[in-house]
Amino acid sequence: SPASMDSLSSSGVGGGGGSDSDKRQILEQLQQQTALNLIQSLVNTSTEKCFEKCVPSPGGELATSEQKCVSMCLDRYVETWNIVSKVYGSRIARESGGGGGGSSGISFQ
Amino acid sequence: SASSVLRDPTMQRQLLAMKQQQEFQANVAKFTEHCWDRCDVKATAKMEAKTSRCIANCVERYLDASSRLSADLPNLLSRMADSRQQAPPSSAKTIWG
Repeated sequence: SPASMDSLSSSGVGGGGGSDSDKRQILEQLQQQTALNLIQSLVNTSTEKCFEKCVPSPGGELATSEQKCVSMCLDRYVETWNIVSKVYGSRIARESGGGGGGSSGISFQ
Repeated sequence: SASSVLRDPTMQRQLLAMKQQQEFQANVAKFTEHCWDRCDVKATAKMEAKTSRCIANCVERYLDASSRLSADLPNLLSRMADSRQQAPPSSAKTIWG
């Protein structure tokens, strides 16, 4: 439910104004926006790369082979992303002395 | 008020964590694009083992190069300040003139 101006002005626990549910909502919205931006970025870049790779001479329509290529290309791009995420994440964990457990990466299944 | 929500220390901690996660993701995106090209990843049904090794190496070596550069940066910056006070060597004219 949308936070109303009244609920924002009521004081909640944990210092400062605003109830805990309002704070949670703000964080959730930020999280959602970040995830959306991420997907957007992934789609834009993979589309460009896969178009380059699979459609060297754009014709009147996309051939079946080209469609299959694009589909496989996207799978490989996501696989690349997951490898990068894992390697980078491990490296950070190693360099910060293995502390700060939990993965900060998103991987795509 | 909105500003008092932002002043909440718990909120600030969580915002910082989100910022760090965002930075992580942005780097993953950057490395993915770069290493996709570098390793010439093919649009095949299965990724070759040598390709996945290449991608892992690509990320690790990029980070090594980046650390190396950061370590050398103070030295580089101090050398830049010194050269500003000297006349440029004549060899520079040959290259750029």
